[in-house]
Amino acid sequence: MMLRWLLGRLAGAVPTLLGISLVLFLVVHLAPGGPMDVYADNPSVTPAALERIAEAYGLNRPLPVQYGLWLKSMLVGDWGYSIRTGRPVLVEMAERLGPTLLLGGVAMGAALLLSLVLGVVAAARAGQWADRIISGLALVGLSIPVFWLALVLQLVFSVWLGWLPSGGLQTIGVEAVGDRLAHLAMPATVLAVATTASWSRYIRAGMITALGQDHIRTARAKGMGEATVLVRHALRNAIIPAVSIIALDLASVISGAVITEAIFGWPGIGSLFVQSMDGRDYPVLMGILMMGSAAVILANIAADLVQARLDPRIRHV
Amino acid sequence: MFDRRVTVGLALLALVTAGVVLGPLLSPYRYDEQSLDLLGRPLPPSPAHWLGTDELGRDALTRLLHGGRISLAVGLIGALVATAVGTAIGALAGYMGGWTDRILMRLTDVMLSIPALPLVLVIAGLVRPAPLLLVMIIAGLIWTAPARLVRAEVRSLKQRDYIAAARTLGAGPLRIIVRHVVPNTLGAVAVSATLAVGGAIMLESALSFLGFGVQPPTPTWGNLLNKAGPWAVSAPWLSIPPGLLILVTILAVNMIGEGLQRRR
Repeated sequence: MMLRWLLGRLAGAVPTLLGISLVLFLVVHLAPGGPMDVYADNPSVTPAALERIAEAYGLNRPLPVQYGLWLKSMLVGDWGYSIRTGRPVLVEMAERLGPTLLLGGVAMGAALLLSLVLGVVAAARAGQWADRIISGLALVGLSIPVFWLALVLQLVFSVWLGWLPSGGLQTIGVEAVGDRLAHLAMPATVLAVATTASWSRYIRAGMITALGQDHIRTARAKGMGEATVLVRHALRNAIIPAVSIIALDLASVISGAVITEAIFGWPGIGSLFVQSMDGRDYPVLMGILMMGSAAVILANIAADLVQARLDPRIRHV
Repeated sequence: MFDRRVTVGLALLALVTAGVVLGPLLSPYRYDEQSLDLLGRPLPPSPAHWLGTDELGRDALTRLLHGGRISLAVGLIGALVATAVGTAIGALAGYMGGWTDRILMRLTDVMLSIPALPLVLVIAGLVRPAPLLLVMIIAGLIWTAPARLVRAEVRSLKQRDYIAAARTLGAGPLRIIVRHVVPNTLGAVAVSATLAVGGAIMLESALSFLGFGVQPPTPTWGNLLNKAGPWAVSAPWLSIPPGLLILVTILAVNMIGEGLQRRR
């Protein structure tokens, strides 16, 4: 039963993925200059050479034919070559995936822990000062531009206090856990702030709904401790609506934290994206966008699975 | 009668708006006026230049307030267009149902699945848009939230008796949507429009910060931060204020949205 539901959902994702590929294809090919623009800007490339390049890449064929060919090669795992480095797109992306997952994993882990604590405390103290402070901070966290937060943190902790390195994955030649953590601290904080703000609001809202239900009154009436009631009985229900948004944010880790990675010189997918922007390296850009979109679609399905596990009333027949 | 957050948010927003509208008019400097005496490197705040000058000797405060005009305009117009498009698509999908609904919602899913900032970066990088086109690109990305919201509202409104009555009296779908359905979704639309303002300002400033949004010499809060980047250490008076104003503006907008939501 479950397997059939899963297969159905995956099949349903196919048209969405096709739609995404079409949108991305059109964006690149309908832009002024199209994919050839990078060569057209170069004065040393003659019109004859332009024609040869177009011929070689199949860019002089009708658009629907080009789309079909592109889609076919994407499907068989041939994602093309980077214009900037000449290396396969998939190799370029694979190299950057490690740092991105490390940064995203640490940031999202911290955000999950923090938002659970903050959300539960705010809901348990709804309307009181603890809730007001947490909710106020959450609203500020949602409103801070990440690039500015990153600049301010760099200014304070690297320049003025000199406590943390201002960027990079690690100090060259140093292989120590402490050094890695020092480099992770600021980018992970920047990433975690907005995420924590958003998640804690969902968890707070879910907890307030959950705490108003009958079984909570029953649990309290039975004399259960407040901590048990909050965590075992309320949180389990409160987290169900938050799962969808958490899954989406987790999926967005894959396409890299574009701004944060760029500012902190973190060698992940996000800075690969920004570097590829400068060189108009559209095979890499398309690759990252396709992978990011696919991750979002899979995360949606995963969220539904988790929600069904947490709430037996949600059945997938 | 208003939630206190709405009052505070509106007051903050009014303050910022008054500042960016009046500031450049009252300032003795133009936003692109260079001073040859001060050329070379940024100078710290002084009685003549309250927020200092940039490396071209331009008055930072004047540029900050002038940049705010562009940032606010992009945010407001972008949100307006996105909300109008989203409301139209959501109402159509929700009211018509069937194939119209399926196709429009599939389109919404597609747009929601593509990572927003990278996509808008690619489009802006390829097109190199003027501010007005940039507004349209941003609106083209953020219409999905109001569309989903309005669709859900319309689907529940559709079941009401007064809609059935209008239909019985011979009103066509377009008339019912425009006269009877959309006006009743305005509460929900107002909330999502408010949040869209924040989203649009954030996207524009992120784009301009990365150098793919509004291009200098036209200042916006985002590209002021971009230009201040190399001077972040030696001239923090150039990089702190633009970000602070983005923060205050988006916070104000979010407070209004939050307060409106609570009242519904």
